[in-house]
Amino acid sequence: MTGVFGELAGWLIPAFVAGVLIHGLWRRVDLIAEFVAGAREGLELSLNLFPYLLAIYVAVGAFRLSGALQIVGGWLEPLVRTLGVPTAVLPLFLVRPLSGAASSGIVLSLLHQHGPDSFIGRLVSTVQGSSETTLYVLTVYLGAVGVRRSRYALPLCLTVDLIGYITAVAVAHALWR
Amino acid sequence: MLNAVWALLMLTALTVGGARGTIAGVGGGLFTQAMQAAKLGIDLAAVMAFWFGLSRIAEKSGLLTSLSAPFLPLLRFLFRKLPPDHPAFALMAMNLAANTLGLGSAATPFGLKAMAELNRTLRKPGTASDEMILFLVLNSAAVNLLPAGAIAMRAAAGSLDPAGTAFASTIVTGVAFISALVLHAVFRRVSRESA
Repeated sequence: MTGVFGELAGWLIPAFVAGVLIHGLWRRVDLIAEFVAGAREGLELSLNLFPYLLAIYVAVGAFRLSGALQIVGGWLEPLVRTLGVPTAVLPLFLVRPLSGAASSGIVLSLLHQHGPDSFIGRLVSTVQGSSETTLYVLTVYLGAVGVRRSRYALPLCLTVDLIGYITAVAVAHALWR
Repeated sequence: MLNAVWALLMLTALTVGGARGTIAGVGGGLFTQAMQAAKLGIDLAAVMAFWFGLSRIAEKSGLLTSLSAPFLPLLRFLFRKLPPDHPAFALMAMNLAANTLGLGSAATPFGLKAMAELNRTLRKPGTASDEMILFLVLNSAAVNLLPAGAIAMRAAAGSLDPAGTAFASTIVTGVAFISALVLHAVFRRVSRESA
């Protein structure tokens, strides 16, 4: 089971790349010319979105380094504990929508601390595998096309994230407790 | 909204830093974080350039259109306001397909191109349309059949069953996907009434 999934994930991207190239050759596409033209588009877009990436990265980093994140965590702890969520998992819920790198770090450290096959280990893996870095997605996607008024996008996405976390906890309790 | 969140994060960090004596760390952190963003930005630019190059080949050969076909009926139903032959459909479908397979790095370029197409249909430039927001929320709540990142982390931590939480993640994303559709309808209505 394990091996199959690992192998499958490893083969997916190479197979896709090979498929695109072979199909392109078959349809007589000028591969290198189109690739270079597309790559240039990609670079231009990256340049447009970098300032947004920088803004979000600095703000989230400062929020974490100042200790503000810990304070917010302290406020929420009693509420979260009554809902059947282990306290150790709380930082992940707070960081997950903000920073992909920071949440990966939290997941890795919890997997090592509690063991990947413990209840906490399985719960954080489920959350990591079912959620996105919402603030990053919104900032980058809207920033890339120059949309500044996001209207209800953020509250909507964060509400959906919250529903996802609650579902993850419920599913984890049902499957592994 | 994002403006307010950004200001709130920055000002809270600086205030808390001042009050708790962590301000020196915060001050230095601003620049280390900026440098980390630059490293990430260069990596991201490289990966994006590669996938954009590849996706342009797939676009020219017609592969993009055939691969995205299974997702199109659902998307045409969800985005009823767009004309059925709108170029954003194939790109949104590829974005969702890549997300479903856990290929985040492949999903982003398609998503960004889809946003650019949606941006062309904007009636008020600079303001997100209902279609854009629906695409964003579907993107962040996308159904995930193969959470590659989580499986890799579990394997790295020595799990006996690295793919053991994939099924749970799929259930969670399924619930999130349906709630995203329902809540989008609710939020859209509320925003109309208050506007």
